[in-house]
Amino acid sequence: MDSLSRREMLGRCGIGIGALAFADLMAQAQDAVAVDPLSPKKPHFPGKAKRIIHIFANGGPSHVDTFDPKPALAKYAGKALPSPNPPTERRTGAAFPSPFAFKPGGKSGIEVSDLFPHLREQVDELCLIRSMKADVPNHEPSLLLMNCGEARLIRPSMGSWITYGLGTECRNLPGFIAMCPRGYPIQESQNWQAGFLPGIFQGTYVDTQHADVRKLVEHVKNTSMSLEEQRRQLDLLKELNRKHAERKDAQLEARIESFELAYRMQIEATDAFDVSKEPKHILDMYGPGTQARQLLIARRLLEKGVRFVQVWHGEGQPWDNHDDLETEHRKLCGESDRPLAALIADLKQRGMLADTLVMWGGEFGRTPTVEMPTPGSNAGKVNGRDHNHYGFTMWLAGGGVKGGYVHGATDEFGFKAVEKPVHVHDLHATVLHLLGFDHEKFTYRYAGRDFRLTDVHGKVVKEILA
Amino acid sequence: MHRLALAAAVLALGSPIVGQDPPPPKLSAADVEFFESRVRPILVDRCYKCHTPKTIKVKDALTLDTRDGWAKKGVIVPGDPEKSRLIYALRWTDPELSMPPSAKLPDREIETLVEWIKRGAPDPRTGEATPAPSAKPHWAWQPPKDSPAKSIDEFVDKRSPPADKRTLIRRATFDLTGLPPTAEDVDAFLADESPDAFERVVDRLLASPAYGERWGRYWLDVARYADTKGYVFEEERRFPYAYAYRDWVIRAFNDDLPYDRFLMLQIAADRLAVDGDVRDHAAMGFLTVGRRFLNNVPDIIDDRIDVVTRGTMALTVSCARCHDHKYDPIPTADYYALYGVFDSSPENPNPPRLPTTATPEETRAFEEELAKRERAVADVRERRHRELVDALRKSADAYVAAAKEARDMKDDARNAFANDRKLNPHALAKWVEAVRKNADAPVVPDFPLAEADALFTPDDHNKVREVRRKVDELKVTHAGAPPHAMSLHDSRPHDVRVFIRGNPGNQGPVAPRGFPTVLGGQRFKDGSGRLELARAIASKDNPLTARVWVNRVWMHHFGAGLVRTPSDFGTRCEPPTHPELLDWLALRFIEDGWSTKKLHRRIMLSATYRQSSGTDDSDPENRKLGRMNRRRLDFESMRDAMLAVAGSLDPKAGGPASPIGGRRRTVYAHVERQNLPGVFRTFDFASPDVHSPQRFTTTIPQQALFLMNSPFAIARARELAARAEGDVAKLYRLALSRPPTDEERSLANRFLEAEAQRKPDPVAEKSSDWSYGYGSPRAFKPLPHFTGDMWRGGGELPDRKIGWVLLTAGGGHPGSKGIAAIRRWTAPRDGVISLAGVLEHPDAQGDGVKARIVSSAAGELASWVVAKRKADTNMTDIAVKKGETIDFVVECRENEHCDSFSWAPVVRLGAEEWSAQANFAGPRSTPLSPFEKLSQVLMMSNEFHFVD
Repeated sequence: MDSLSRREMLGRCGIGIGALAFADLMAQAQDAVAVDPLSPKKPHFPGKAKRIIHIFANGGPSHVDTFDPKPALAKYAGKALPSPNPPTERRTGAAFPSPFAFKPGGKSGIEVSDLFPHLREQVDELCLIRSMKADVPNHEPSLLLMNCGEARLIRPSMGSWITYGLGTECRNLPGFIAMCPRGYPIQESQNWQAGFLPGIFQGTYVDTQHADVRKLVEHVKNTSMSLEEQRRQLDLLKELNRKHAERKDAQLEARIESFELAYRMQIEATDAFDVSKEPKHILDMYGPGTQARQLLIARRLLEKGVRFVQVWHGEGQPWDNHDDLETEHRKLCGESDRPLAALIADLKQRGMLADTLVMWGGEFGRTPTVEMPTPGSNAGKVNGRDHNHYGFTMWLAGGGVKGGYVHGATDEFGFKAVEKPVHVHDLHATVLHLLGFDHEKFTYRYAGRDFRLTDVHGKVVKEILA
Repeated sequence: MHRLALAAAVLALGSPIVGQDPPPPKLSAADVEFFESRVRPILVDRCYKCHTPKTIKVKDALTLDTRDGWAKKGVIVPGDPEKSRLIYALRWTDPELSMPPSAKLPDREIETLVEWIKRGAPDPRTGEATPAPSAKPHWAWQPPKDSPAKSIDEFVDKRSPPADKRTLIRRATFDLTGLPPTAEDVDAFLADESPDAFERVVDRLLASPAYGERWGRYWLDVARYADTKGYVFEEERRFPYAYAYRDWVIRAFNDDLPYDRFLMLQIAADRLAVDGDVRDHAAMGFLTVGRRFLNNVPDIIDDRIDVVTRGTMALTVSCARCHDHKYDPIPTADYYALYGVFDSSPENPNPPRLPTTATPEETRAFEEELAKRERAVADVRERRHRELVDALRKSADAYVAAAKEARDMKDDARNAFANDRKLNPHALAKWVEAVRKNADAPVVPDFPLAEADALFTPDDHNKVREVRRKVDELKVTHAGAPPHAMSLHDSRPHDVRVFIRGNPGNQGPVAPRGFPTVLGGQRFKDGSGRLELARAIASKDNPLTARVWVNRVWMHHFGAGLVRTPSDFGTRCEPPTHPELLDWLALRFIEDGWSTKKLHRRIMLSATYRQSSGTDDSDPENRKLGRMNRRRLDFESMRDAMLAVAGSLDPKAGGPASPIGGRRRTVYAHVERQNLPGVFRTFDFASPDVHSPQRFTTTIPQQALFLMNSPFAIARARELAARAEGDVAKLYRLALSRPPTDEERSLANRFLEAEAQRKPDPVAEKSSDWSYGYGSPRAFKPLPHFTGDMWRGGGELPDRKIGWVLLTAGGGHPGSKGIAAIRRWTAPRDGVISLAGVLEHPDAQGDGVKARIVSSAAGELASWVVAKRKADTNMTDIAVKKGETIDFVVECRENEHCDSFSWAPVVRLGAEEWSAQANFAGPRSTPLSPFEKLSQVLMMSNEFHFVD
């Protein structure tokens, strides 16, 4: 069965006509597991990337302080820029040159600021898109746009689309996992919603502060009996189920098989979170702290075959530095620099980088101009930056993108993407392409329409493909 | 460009190049797809505004809404974009001929059109219809055709043999009540040999209150019911009275409220319930329990249009929000005709009060508290208003001066001016009025309390919001809070303009309020038009409404509808498997006074419904209805059936929602739209985000885990076992409503005997020799909270009482001085033990920790202090007696900052080994008895979870 007809089939048996389509399927499928919507599937064409990790710097990291050097700002320090500041969420004033120095890194010599010294050493693996743009300077719609390709209405998230399209390689864990320490980012679990796709494609949320496997996989442990006792229970169950089904029925078979999968899940899923199983040199490489721990967990999950892992920096919007940008960004980058560099090196040394797409970025960037004080928020402080959706930086690595490469540019101050702008829809189209999907043909019929992650937009950014 | 010039350009553009109109070529599927997905949207968005017969009144002008339109004018040379004047005009190289006149199209769109012309300009659009293919022949928009049949069975060719009586009563009971039949029900039916025995079963089930709980829930899927608003920023997240709508729906089904009335009340109860039952006001929850999109009005209205049109008529109108529907004849104007209806129907600020279920004391307590909190809101508003008016009076001179300057400004300019001068824009506007009346001696304007909001600063608004939230909170949480109907009312009826591409900032022509054109397109005149909308939907002349509902009912009885896309009866849906049957059922349903209960009877008493699920595999999707479909229980039936057989189903009906972990029927569980608990999703519950046409049926291991391990499943297994009193036959009767076969009985007995002989699990036993506490070895207090991977003080870390103290499998953290973290091993027998372990304080900061090993018999055995380093903690030859303890105690030194440590000791006694790491466990529950394990197996079995 080719991949498309399999997906169509999934669509059909997904809609509650259950048993009917299954019989047809069973004739062709290898085993009963194939009726499972999460079983691995092939995309339209062989993709370079097999799995994704999306590190979400939620709140909006400042590109002009990290990956997009703008020396011209220094000329105007404290003065108005020559052209009026475009409207953002709040009023901004004079040019605000970055307090951080930029230095070239790697063989490519791409400039990265001193906030990311470790990552700078890995810059030859990075593909910097310095010309990202979104639609509006507000968190909620921009988060939804980045995650679901639509700012307000209910649409499936990118991770849901991808798990729907590819299934998962690991039957012992959810295919799509969203991790965020201490609580939700704003817009909460809508960031990883399944929308109108079956609920099973929704991201499974894990609070990485606890990293409790029972929160990763609900009900994965039984507190009343041992695995051996449970094994004997399931053996009896199997026998009763065999007697119950006179006629071969894929639906019944699938359910029998699901108990066997569940049994194995109890043993293997537990292992995923146990970073203590990592050797010391790996633990040292990632360093201490929550970011290190969650990126290491993420790598273990990817290694086990989880399709899409999204790693959020923290609850709320930690990168949203309307004030005290210098100290706050120093702290945030300090938390994530070493683990990010370690993740890339670690994936590489395991031979996983080539087919793992790493994505880093926020929902937008920040203004090169200083934010004016607003009563009730950053009153009295003039040392932060406002949201900026006109231009910002994201970087990708591995998974079929060029390393040591810079795509596009913002204007001389870093306000707007001017060279080869890449809209979020284009990014989505490109990600799907890297996974082997034609984003215009990867659709789901719902409510009278064929929906796409990219809606009616999106263009694959061919220049960044390796 | 000026209008006239534009018209001239159109004519110029339209000079013919090709004289003859070539016959439209046959199009490949790929061509059609290319056109539909890429070209049509551009034409619709960019050209239709002018170039359709409706929009351009110039004779012989170019129209682009049909193939003939452009072919006649020859503006496209198929295969040659460079010769096509259309492309020439789009490229904006000629100032005299640049289209569209307002702005050049993005290059991408032009490229798309170039590519299209290169492909030969394939264009499937024939005739005159502006939106997609011509509407008329589509079956769903034609009135149903009657046929002389007497029963459903005449429409079905071949059937499987009838199901046996046991199967039949189980099927009927789950179908109508969502619960399993009791063994007594089954016995009575088996014993009843009268010809109408089944009919009486159906009537009994239809009369059961459980019927409404089952079928009401089906409707709540349609109505995308939830108890919360979705994402909110600061306001109260819960809907205080959503449950009143849920209860109304359940009651409507139980009372067999005629379906037409049922629909009308849900759309326009404010107009219809006036003289009737006050409780009917709750019906409008249908419109109002949707997601609130941070109070963005266009999105809220979109949600309401969608739930009404797809939910009642399977018409996908919301596709037309941004452009004409691609496939069905639904232009954007139809969408905005409905938008106007809902835009004229805001939520009623004084919603009708519904009868309460609270006690008089609760009600009184609520009212007192409510009055207090409302008074607080009024106080804040009045006080700030007074202060602001005082301040305004004091700065009257400044206002008069500013008003003179601003007297001729437009509103926007004046407001900006006011902000620059740090004046209140509203106050300035009133002063300008005064100055206009009398520039020399303006009368001081009046600032009544009603206008206070316009004078408030953002800070004032925040303060008011804060106290107002306390009011909302009380209404949501207080037991005595009376429910109110979440109803709409008509206010300032008005039409809206079409929002071009769905953008409210880009408005097109006015769309008068009315019904979709494909269904007649009548205009609405009465208030908002909602009542007329309700009547047009709930009309016997509406070709869709009755068909859509009988199809939904059919789907829930058979597992698949006659139309397999129950909320999309458009041109792209599959035609019905049995069109005549669908029509016949719809017409009988209307004749029966829209009685859903009569519809159930009609379906269930047919031989088609009563056939067995059979063995015929020739029609895998069962499109010919040659057998009954085997169906798996949905989430609600599964959970309710487990409670029912366990004898622990809480019968409380109605009222505020309960947590999903409880024992009430699932229809009463709290549905948190934004962060729906995993168990709902695991079992394919309807997404509460948008109207849900039908449930998915997935089979995934997480479902099995719920049945194997969840506290819910374990508790039900224990309860069922207790009910069965150790009797296998009784257990079968309770769980599966039947006696066990001999074979099953002997399997069960063998299992029970084998389990009884098993020794307890060795790892679990070793785990029970460890305990986790804090304090000191003399005053050992158990740590009360287990998170899954750590023992600690409570849900929050640090804990309010005992701070940072915690223990994990491999280490932990001490509390402040005097609060040590203590891992305790209790000797299970006498002997000589040895201890091994490595203690480490890894953090570069902090002053390190002090560790001790303390025996209950011999006192302190050893101690270490480590900071930023490791120490081996090995000891040998320690004699212990059964029940004595060895404590591994870790405390802080000066303070507990950065004092995480790792220390996972191993205790050896003889050949046996206790590893702190491997034996680490959470609180232990009582083990299940062999009979309880068997009880759980039956509740996990396929037979329990499927209905044949």
